[in-house]
Amino acid sequence: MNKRQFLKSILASGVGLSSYSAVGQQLAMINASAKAAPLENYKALVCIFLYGGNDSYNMLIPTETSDYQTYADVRQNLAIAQETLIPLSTSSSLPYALGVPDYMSPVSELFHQGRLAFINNVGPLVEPTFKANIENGSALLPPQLFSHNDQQKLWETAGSNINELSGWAGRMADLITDTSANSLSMNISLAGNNVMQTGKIVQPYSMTADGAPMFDALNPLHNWNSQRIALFDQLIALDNHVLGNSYKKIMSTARTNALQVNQALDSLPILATTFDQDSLSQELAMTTKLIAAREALGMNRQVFFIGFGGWDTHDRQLLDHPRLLNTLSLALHRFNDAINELGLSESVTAFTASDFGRTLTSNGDGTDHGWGGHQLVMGGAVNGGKLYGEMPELALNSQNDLADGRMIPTTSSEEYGAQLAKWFGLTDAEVAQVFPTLSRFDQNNINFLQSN
Amino acid sequence: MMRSSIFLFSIVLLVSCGGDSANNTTASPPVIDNPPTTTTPPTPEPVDPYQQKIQAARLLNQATFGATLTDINYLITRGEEAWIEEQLNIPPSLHYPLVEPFIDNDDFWRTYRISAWWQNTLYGEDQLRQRVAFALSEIFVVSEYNGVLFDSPEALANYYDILVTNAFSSYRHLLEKITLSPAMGVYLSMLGNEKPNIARNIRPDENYAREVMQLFSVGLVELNIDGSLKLDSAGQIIPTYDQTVIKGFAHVFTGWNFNGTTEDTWYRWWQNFNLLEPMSAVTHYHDAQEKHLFSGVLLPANQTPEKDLSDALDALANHSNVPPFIAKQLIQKLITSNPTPEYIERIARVFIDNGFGERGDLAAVIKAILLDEEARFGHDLAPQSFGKVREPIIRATHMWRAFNLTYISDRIDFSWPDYFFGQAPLASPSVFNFYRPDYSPIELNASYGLVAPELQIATESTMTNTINFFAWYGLWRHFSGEVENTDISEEDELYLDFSTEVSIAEEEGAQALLEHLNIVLTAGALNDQAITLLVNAFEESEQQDIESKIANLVFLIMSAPQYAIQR
Repeated sequence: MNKRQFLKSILASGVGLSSYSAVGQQLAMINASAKAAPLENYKALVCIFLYGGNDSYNMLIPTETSDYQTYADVRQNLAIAQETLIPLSTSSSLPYALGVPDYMSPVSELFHQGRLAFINNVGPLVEPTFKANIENGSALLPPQLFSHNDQQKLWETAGSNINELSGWAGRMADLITDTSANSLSMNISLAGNNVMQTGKIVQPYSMTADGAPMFDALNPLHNWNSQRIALFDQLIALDNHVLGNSYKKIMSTARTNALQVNQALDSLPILATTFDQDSLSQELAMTTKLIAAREALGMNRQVFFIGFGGWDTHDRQLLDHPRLLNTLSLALHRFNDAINELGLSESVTAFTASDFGRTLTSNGDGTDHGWGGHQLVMGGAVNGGKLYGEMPELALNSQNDLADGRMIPTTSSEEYGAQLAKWFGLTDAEVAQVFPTLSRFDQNNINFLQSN
Repeated sequence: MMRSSIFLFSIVLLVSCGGDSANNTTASPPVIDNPPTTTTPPTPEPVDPYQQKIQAARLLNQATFGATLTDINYLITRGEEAWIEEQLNIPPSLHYPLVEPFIDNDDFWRTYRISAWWQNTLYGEDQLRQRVAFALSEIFVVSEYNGVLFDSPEALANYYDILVTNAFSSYRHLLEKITLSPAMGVYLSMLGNEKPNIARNIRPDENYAREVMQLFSVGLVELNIDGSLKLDSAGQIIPTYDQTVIKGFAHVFTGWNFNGTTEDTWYRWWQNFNLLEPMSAVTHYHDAQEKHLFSGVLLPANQTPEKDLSDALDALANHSNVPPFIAKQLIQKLITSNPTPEYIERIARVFIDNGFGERGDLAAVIKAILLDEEARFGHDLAPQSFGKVREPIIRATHMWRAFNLTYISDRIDFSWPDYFFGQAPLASPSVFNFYRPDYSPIELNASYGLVAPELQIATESTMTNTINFFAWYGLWRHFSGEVENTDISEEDELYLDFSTEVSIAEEEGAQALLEHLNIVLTAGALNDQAITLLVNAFEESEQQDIESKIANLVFLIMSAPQYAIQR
């Protein structure tokens, strides 16, 4: 049994977290004798998490007058003016023609270049879910709908178990990383700790847009620190508090990885593409550098996690939401340019996620927590210029409207993640292990990425 | 060399706070006749002055922004319970008055409120009140990361003062104060929230309704009094509320706006713009229908906005979840990340009744949390798991308190604690605070089922920056003796004063120095081996400069898990 098979067996057998230690020990033994079969080529996934809940029904908007009127009746004072919409030309079959607001012109450009696609009305689901089943009480619903942190967590774990601590990118890393080597994690976060990248074994490594800081007084590259470092290591070995052990583990990763990362970032090609100063752009700039440094880092698979906050537009929506979408659009376009410069457009796929969509109805000057929402996927491997999944009816109290314009998702976030994982190189069997309830959904309707 | 009046003032405060001076350290402290616990402690042993100081430091690390030698000696003379009583009665040190003189400055920005926070947390006599207010600021979260509040540090200082002032009042009173605070009104968009307009599909804003329940009062699921999950007959968790209840509360929270707003000025916000006075209500914009809250609570139609609000806050405060929900979080913030159910229940019962039939008496709750046998002796019962990861910013206040921070500018100019610590007062990325109370690194959860909330912000980057703080502001920024003899010259330089430590090392030797640091910093968490290791290193070090050798020890200890985990 090689390592991947072993992990499959423990994931499939439903070994709980309580057996983690035992699993870890077995794994260490197996790693000593067997290595994961290396995946070929280089691929990276870049998750841009829109924290707070993107009102994506103000991102894709009907353009034809009668459909626009339905939209405007529901959205009232939050409706975006019809004359400012940029129509999307697409071969996708849609119930009504769609456009994006003019402040998303960089996204419209990418869409029409075939570099970007929309996945419609995605959200956490336990099973395919219809309004009638919800109303008669027979539907199984995700726990704690409309709660920020819980819905973020369901997006990231890709399932409906609110107590699950591992995320889908973390479980991918468990399967495909050679954990015997004490090397940099496949999963790098520029937005701190997150569930998505947390595996049962592999943990994400956190950096910032500024890079990986070094421990100035514990830096082994400086001779004057050597006595202090030796003493420090002796000192911390004398403590065995279990919370302290977690603290030591983070510190140890920080000490090892910062050295490695900074050396790899030392000599990189200078790109013509420049990034703006907003935090999203800066995090994408650092992501670009880490991708450029992939060989020095010894990576052929990477998942990056980027956080972009401010989307919880309960008020001031007309002020804030256009600005956020504009920032996102510009940053995506620059990132696309930078990855093209590296010659890696087929190898890097960026995608969005967000807590939830928002109510189509207004609360006066904003919107409240909803459920389904649209997502963007960008890269050379994307079958772009298309919209995937179903575009729901926008009229209030339609079959898609749970109430007040909370859209019942028509594609599960698990299906969405599974497409990304499959492109990343996981076999169907591995995908099924990473996404535990995927088989409940028909996954064939959203093939938005080119097959390997 | 000039010293500012504020600096001198702070020295005076420190002395008056301690009521005892540092040269008393060798005097033998009085014996505590009655250990101040309400339940039976482990068998009393003869008082060992070293152990007694360690016990005092433990309480001070739980109840203040960090133990100091002066405070340790003072607490020993007073006794634990009397010290707490004294702290409960010290008048509040406020933030707004420290910010107010600068409001009209062209460069008025967060630096002034952050300075005020350092001033009060480092030097306030009301240490316990300040410490509890900080904990409350991480439960009842308002953050500057908001389009309006970012430019209004005075509004945030004022909000913080609500927490400081009401830290020992009743929960119900505090809940009303924060609900009507204009900072909260802006942050969670209750301010300006209107009754529904059916014709235009406009509903009341659900933001405050949702978060006041999820985060400030009852939480998502029904709890037993010991904080464990209540289950239904099918073994399933029971949600505390559903969307109908959210709507009910959202309708309650309509009609409130800046103080003094009238029907005429409702949309002319600039006429009443006021981020300091509590919001006031305008009946015309308040929903007049009846409102369904929790099962059994129905607010009749046509109540005033004030009556609806009062009834709704009563409903929240009287919910059976509040005592364990709030008690557990306060225990986690002050004492231990993983309290036993029995500890939570004991505190929840004090929350329900302070002994005088009053519910939600926060002073009684805090006192009970600190004097509980688990708070006082938990580290003996579970030495490998009791305690919590110290919040990084409180490691900083501790260093600066313990080693007499010295500076020559007129205020502490340290405006971006976020950079070093991943946190700053009232600057959380969202209403969910910097970290969640149930955060657990996956291996800690898998192996032990424990949580370590503060590790959510302990990323590799933040941890590195925090330890670099101890290097830049400790290891490499210190003096001893007369401040006039140092090279402090830059306006914004912050120095540690190791005079006390130098004299201990010179007069009593390395063992005494390490015992001193083991008391003041780690409250006994350095075991004998660790002390021997550091004593030997200190004595064998080729470095001639004793002060630098002390700085090196302080850096090593404050970076190590023995210090990072408060136990």
